[in-house]
Amino acid sequence: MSITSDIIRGHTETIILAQLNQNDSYGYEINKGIQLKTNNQYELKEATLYSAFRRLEQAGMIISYWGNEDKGARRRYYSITKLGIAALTQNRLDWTDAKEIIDSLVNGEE
Amino acid sequence: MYEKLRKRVNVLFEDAPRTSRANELKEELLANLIEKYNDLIKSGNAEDEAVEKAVSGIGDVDELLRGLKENDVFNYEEMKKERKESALIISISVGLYIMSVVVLILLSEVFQVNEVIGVSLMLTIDAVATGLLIYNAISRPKYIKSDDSMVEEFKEWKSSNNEKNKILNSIKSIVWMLIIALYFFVSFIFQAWAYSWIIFIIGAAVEKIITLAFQLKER
Repeated sequence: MSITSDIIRGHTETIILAQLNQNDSYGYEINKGIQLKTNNQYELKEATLYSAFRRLEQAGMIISYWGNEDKGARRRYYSITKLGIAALTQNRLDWTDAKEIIDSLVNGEE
Repeated sequence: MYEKLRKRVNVLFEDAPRTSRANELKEELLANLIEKYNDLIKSGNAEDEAVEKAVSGIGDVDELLRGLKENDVFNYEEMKKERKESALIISISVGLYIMSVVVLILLSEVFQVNEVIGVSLMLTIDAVATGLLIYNAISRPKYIKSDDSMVEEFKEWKSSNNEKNKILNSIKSIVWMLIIALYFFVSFIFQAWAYSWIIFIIGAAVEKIITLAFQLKER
């Protein structure tokens, strides 16, 4: 359980990029998506999520814009950039590699 | 109930730097919390319970605030350039002050030009010099504290110190203008050219007194 959440946290940025690759989104929606896909087992802390947003934005992998909600507070939407898509593709390859390596390390018998 | 959420977020951001980025982050966080809160209410939570759950989901805000501070690195290169510029302006204006007297002496003693023209020219040069000094004092932006680290405290202290120096410099330049005006006034009216130069020495003493008064007030 704790290993899983550690791994998820370690891939926060890739998870965000993967969500944004489907459509522009905002913090809570992304977090809800994570909850939904993990059957309510996991969700990111807001602090973790926004820190990742800032890092991605500074790296030029996502851009943000304010939505125009009539009532209540404005939402900040994020959109993936070409650089972000490239990073996502690379991260997916890296993850596949890592999965295989860890598989062989954890399950492999001499 | 949204007000309650807003208050909780404000408490969390108490230590945040007062920057637009911090405010934007706060607004973003609040918008998402409100939505989360609404969902929690819909799924059958009591209001207070929903607030608690929403706020506890925020996690470690320090991580976020650190991120905000990291990006407010003070631009030393720009500051150095500004300082150079300001030093140049001050040097030019001081040079002009001294030159204006030289011009007057040259015109009236060597070239025998009418004294009124000489004095007018001198005061014009002084006016330009004073204008430069005032421009220099006004055009430099006051440093606004962006976070509460010790470095920031120091920068703010330095900035406020500069503010005081600017005021002091302005007062000094005004005093010198007055001294020069007084010198000519006394000299022309009483024809006391032989003795009136003593006014400049008194002027220098007055300047020192003003500086001292400022320093004593500092303590």
